[in-house]
Amino acid sequence: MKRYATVVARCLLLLAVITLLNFFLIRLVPGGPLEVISRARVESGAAPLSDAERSMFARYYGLDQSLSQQLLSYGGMLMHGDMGQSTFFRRPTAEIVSQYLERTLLLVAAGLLVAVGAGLPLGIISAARRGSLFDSSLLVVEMILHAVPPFLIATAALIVFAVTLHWFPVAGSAAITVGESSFTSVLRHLALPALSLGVWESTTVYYLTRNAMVDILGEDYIRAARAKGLGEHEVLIRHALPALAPALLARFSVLFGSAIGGAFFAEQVFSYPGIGQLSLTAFQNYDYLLLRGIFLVLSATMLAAYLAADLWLIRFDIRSGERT
Amino acid sequence: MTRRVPQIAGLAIVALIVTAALLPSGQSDGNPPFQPPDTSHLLGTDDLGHDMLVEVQRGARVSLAVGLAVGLSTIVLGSLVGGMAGIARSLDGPLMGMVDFFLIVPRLPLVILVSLYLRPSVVNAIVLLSLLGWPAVARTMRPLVRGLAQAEFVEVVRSWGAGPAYLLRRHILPQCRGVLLAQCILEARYGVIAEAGLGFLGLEEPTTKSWGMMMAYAFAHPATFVSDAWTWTVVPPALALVALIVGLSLIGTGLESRFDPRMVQHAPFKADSLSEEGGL
Repeated sequence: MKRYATVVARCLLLLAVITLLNFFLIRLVPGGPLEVISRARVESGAAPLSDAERSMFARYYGLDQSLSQQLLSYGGMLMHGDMGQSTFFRRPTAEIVSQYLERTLLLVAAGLLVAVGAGLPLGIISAARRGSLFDSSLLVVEMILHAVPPFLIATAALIVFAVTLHWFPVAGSAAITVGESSFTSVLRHLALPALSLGVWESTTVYYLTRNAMVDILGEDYIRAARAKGLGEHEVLIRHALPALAPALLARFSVLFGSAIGGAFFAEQVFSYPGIGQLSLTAFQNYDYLLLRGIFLVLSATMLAAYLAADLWLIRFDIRSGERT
Repeated sequence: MTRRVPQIAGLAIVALIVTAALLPSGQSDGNPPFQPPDTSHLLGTDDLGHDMLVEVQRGARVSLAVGLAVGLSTIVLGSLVGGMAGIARSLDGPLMGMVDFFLIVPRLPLVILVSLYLRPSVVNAIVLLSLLGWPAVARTMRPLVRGLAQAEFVEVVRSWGAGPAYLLRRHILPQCRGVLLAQCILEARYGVIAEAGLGFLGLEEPTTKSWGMMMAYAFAHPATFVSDAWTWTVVPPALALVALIVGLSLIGTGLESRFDPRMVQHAPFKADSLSEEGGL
């Protein structure tokens, strides 16, 4: 019970730190939030804020109050799920973010499925036959694949499967296509972004699996299992594989985080309307309330994934080892 | 000897790119647009009539500069924080909490957020990527320093009254030179990948001549993929980028398996750092 409490407390602390960062980041900019608004206007071709406008904006956003009052009201808004109004979409930030996040989470889940489906078996085989021709050549292939940025993998998929073969739509998601039955449409639009994200991420899964498996196969209990006359298959399946799950689970948050980063690029190449595209839209339109909301929600999502993996590790009383 | 082949290959690739970047660059502007490769423009020209060969060469400078700066600053920060956490037990908790924070925070959204507040520039990119990169170095250094801190020769110096900072500087970190070099190369690799990603997403200054930006501009042009133009506007920067990343990976993982004691059982290499660093 104490271990659960520690993990939850850590996550809450991290969430608090991220929220504070979110609050203070814009106030650390030279000139503060008003300067950011003013510059956004200048860069989109309008005149800079006049003094009258400045005081109006300051009153509207509560920037004329003391810092502690502002922090309190920010916290109070967040408690109600209120993250302000997006200046570009002219709708509540929370509503827009949840709508786009849904599609990104679907993409990330499908991508991770592909990544684990490809990376896990290859990593296991590679570790089991360490030093063999298969292992060495796979290491080289994976290293080169790992060096290809996600947007290039996505581009290759786009050129081959969508532009040349016409198997899948070039861009978009089911949300903006009419006339196709929704479920198959969702899948068809998801296929290529998820595939390219999955292929890119699979190299990370491969390395994680191979490293963990090499460690496991070096353990004494594996040597004992071999010594009592078990075949290699028995050893691998009965003794080594069960130890792999916690090793991978302990790295789940890393995988999840990199998949979210990769999704930004897959979304960009396929114009898949997810949180990555939303962030770039917000960036291009100086919609800082929206971008701030996205950052907070994504941080919370990653914390939740981190928490879930940690709680799971404790529940099965698996020692995740010293966190180094 | 054969174990060194990948490292030598990596070194050759990186040396080639560094040499090319250091050569004086020719005139890029003022050519007819979308010329396929020929003798006057070996890699053709882009939609604005820039000579692609010159552009790719200029892109190498940005990539290498960002990689070098990120590599150096992350090992300084990382060995400082990881070293202090490893040697001073009382600092371990708070410092590693900080590392945890950077592990959890979604990197790309943070970069986009900061880019909105401070207009994007190469210097801002270097600072941001260094801030995001050092925790990985700290995580590698902490157990190494912890192990060395208990070694006899360190105990002896400690018994003479040496403080943690002195021990770290004079006795422990010099022992970690090899690992630090490997980490420097691997973080430089991270810097190169991330910088190209930022360019591709349009999060760099629009005038920066980087490989990521070149690809982003090519993608944005409607003619790129309906003609053969992509074979000379997208492929050269893409190949150069992949070559540099592969080269740095080969050197970095080679050094790592030579110097990091934990890697010995993982022949030919463990590539732990490759799996640790989660993209941008």
